[in-house]
Amino acid sequence: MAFSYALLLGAFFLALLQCGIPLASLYYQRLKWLKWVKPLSWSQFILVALAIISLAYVFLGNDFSFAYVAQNSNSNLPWFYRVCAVWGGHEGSILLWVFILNLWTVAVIVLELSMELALLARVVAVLGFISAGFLLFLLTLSDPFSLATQSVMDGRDLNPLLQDPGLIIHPPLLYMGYVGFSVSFAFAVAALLSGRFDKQWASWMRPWTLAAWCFLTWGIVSGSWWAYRVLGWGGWWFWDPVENASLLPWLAGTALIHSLLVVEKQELLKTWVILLAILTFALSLIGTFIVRSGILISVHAFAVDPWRGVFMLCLLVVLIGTALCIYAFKIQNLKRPIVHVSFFSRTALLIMNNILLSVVIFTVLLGTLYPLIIEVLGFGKLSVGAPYFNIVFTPFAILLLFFMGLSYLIPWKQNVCADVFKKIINILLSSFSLSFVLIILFSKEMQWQVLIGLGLALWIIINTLQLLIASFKKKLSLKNIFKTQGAMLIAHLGVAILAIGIILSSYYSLERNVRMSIGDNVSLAGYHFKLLQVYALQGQNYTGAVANIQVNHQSNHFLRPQLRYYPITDVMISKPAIAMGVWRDLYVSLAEPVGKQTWTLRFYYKPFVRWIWMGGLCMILGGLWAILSRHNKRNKY
Amino acid sequence: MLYSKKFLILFSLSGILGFIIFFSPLALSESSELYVFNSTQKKSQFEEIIHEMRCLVCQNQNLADSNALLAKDLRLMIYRRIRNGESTYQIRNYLISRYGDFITFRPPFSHLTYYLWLSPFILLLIIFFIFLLKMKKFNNDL
Amino acid sequence: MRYIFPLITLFIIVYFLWQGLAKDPSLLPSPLINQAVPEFSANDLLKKSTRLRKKIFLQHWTLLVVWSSWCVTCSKEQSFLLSLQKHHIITIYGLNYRDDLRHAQLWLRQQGNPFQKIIFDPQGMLAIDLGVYGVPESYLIDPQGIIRYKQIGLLTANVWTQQMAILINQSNKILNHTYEG
Repeated sequence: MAFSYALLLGAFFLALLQCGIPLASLYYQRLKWLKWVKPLSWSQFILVALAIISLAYVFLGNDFSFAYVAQNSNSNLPWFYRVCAVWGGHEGSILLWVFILNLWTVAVIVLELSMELALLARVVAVLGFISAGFLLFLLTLSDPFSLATQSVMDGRDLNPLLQDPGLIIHPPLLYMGYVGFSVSFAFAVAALLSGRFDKQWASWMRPWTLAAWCFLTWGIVSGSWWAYRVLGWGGWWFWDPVENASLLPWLAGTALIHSLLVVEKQELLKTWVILLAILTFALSLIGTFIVRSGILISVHAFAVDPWRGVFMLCLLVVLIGTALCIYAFKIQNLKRPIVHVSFFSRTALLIMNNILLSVVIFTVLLGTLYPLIIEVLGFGKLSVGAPYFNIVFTPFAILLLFFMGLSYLIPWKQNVCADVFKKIINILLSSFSLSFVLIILFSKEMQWQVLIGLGLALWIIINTLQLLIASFKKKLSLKNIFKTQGAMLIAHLGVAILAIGIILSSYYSLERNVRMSIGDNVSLAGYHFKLLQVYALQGQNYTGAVANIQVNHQSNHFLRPQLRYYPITDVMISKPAIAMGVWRDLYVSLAEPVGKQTWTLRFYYKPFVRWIWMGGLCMILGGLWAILSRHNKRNKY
Repeated sequence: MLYSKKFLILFSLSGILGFIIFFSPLALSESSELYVFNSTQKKSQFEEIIHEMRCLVCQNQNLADSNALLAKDLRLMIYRRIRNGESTYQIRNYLISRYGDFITFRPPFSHLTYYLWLSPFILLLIIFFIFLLKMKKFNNDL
Repeated sequence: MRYIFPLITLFIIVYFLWQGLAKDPSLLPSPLINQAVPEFSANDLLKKSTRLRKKIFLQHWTLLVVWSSWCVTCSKEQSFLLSLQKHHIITIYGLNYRDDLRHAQLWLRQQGNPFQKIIFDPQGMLAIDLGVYGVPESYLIDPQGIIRYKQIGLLTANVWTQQMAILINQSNKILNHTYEG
């Protein structure tokens, strides 16, 4: 559709103007031009919005004259999946990226009310520069509106693994996160350009970083939940290169929101924060690149075209390289006051947290790229997978959890004294004793990994309780506590819940892999499963079989795993049945039949696995609370 | 009396028969385990190996999760070797000798991978010491 | 100076990513190159009573082709293999991987049979011993029973002339040189 292409072309020129005009106006001191900043951003947003709506329209209408629609959709596909197929392939996902970038830009313009236009203009200029780059990519190598070379009767259908509610929310949320960090990036570069980065600037920057972080957390949590329901055999994290690609900006973003706190309170770590903001966005871009270039083997394979990889690398070099050049030239202009930092202060703890997170980022990046590095250097091929990451990540996780709990005992502007040391030892001992007792009570064996993991999670929980109790003793109301420390309490509690979920489900899961005939029974972890019948299955674009399994001989508790065959793409997938519960999940997968009445099935008992995602949600709530409570505090500046 | 005796015999016979049927293994037909081991240690050894090895057909999955033909063959081969008493080390070596380091998700600890395994910890120590030195310098300056 | 350090790191990472674009991440080089063919014992597909062992690979160059009747790509290399066999360029053996006896025999009748001997491997265990992970794959084995080259995927005339035939010629030159010298 030439019309939609023209929309994108128009948006591209607007993006160039959105970047150029603010910078020119500030350079030439023609401040009147700044009034164009907001209209330019809005018009670019509208054009891109129209473009993506037209793409959705084309999908809904089953117009297979477009190559992208023909590759990713089919007339038998339910309508909501047809809309989601917009971002099911490469070209549409880049259009979604640009759309979300413009969404964030408009949000910044509308919501950032306390910032002067001159300063805001620089932020918007950087965002325009990024948008122009991606629009150029769309216009040259990733046109979602290109026409198909051969006419087809019907499309190739969406990958069956993507035909799941997870597709509706996971990519948009992830992109909101990835792209949201471009706002922090823009603030950082704008700070360098304006020569100013103080408490106030950090207070402007932090809510945007928090918002992006919340979205990215939600995106990763929904991705993990989706994988659990669809892909793996009860797995929720595989250290797959593309999962790592989403974890890396998340880790950097976490470090960023913590160190922005230090800048806000004490104006320290400015250089580090600027670098970190650039790094976070760089990791988002590298992640985007890795998924689409085909250089690493992953379950998320987008259609691969080496030229696209080349373009994206160039985009990465231009965006990050420019930012780092500006950094090299302008960083010394930022004022750095001298402040006393005690080794046993909260600031020091936050620095430790940043050090740990940075090393973890380095480790995950190294592990993900190591096979590539070894191959490029000519040393053959090796794999780096889950066993490596689990082994190396664990000690860092232990240290991070320990320092997290420690921070509760050391408030701002207070140093550690003998009293606090005593408290630390006491709470540490109680957490590990409680962990010991709980393990003895509920399981038969003592595993030291569970002891440590549970102990650390309890360390955080008990610290939270002691903070609440100490605040009550000081006659502080609950409302007051939540206003000042609520975000930290909720978010860190989320981490503790997540840790409990991970530890307990990893060490206490049980599995049975069996062949069953109709009428057979199997028992696992005290539950009895009986295979009642296997029925034929017919869906809108698939056929297959569904097994009816009765749990514990109850007349209302059934599990119905499915085996689906999608004829258009010639793919067979197994859709597990899950009995969800707060304390445990029962998970059943149906695999191929062996003979006429016998089927292979896998049964899983997964205790506390839901806590993983509940912990994630709790973290998001904490982040949201941090944004909202910022809003109240902001008026003080 | 004869009548009641017959009745008694019939009753007891049916009771015994019922007893046999009720408690016999045929009553609750059990499913058959796909891979049977005679010790839990061997079972966990099996689980560990198949989770650590990459499926070479569906290369983003491990041998435990993959449904590919080669994955099934490799699982069967590993199962037989464990039953024969081979150690994890021997089985890993065999697979690596046939398919290269690529097949194992746990990279070996060799001269190629020292950097991979050790750099996180060395980096942490280096940065931590730099931090300590800077703190000392900071506080001495004041 | 330390302000340029991040830029340098960026360029190093981008360099590796750039180089990675030219590589195929799914191709697996074989660790059995320059190693001996493992010992085995299997039946011939067509002559059920014949027992095949490692020694069939000795004293002549062999092209070992791994194929199955259910493999669509395998039929595409048949014409090239038949021409190799017709011109007596090299001895060709087949390894029938994970196949049904009758389907395999039928496939040979339909596609033509360039193989002098065919190892029947219905369980796929010999294939694993050779490091096979897909079909079609081909191995070039020298007269001492050492694997010299492995082709993953379709065997074309290009691959033959540019990779395999070169190795044979080089080896023959060395032999001739030894005799002369």
